[in-house]
Amino acid sequence: MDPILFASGSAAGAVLAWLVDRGAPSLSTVLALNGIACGLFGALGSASMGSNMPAVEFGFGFLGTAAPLTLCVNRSRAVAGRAGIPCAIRHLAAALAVALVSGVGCAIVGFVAVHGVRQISGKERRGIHVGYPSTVAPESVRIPTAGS
Amino acid sequence: MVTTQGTHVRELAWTVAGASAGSLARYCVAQIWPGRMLEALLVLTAAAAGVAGFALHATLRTSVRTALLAAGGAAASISTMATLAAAATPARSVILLAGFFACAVAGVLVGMLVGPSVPSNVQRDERH
Repeated sequence: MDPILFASGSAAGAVLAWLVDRGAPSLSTVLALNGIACGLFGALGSASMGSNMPAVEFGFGFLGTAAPLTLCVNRSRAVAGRAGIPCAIRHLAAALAVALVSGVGCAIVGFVAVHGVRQISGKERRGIHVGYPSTVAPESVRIPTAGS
Repeated sequence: MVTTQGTHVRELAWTVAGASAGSLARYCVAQIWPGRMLEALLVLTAAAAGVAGFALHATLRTSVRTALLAAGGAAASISTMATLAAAATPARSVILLAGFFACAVAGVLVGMLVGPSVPSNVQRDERH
């Protein structure tokens, strides 16, 4: 069942990527799509920790296929002959590097956001006051010194 | 107009088929070798990037080119790798990112160089 859901999500993600790719997207559009996909991927990964819901596989398939490698390669389609290959590869390398770095950042933001919300809601459910970040007052902590 | 729409629908269908196959390959690799997922994904990335680079420069039918590009792109997903790197330890994260970058660029380069040297598979004019 899981592979079928994953493949269904991938098909939906492919439709989205095709729609974006059809309009000859600029680098900023590619980076925005990649960032959104990575952020949602991180959020979904954090939200699905400890659970085994089948719908999660659909989401993973969708988000994984929505930002394919070919979004960075597409600009080099027009390259004809071997003379243009170095330029195309340089462009691919630059776009891929920026997409990877921004993608990691967005994934971390998505992961931390959902994790933080889960932590706060869990504390509130247990009746722990979350108004202050620390439950230990600084003056109550004994700092060891050289003399003591 | 109808012909253009038909061409778009056919291109979308090939894209969906190729992308589903590529992402299922990624899924299978992650399921079959969970302990060696990093290495297996990097190998898959190199192969997928090679396929995409080959499809860009080889003389192919439009449907084959579209399916190969979609399969290669989906198998080497940027968002999957970035999220895996974000969830890994710092050392593994650096290895994963550097490996993905190197495999993707090298794969596309090799595919582009190999593509024109392979004989064309266009047997006939495509009728859309």
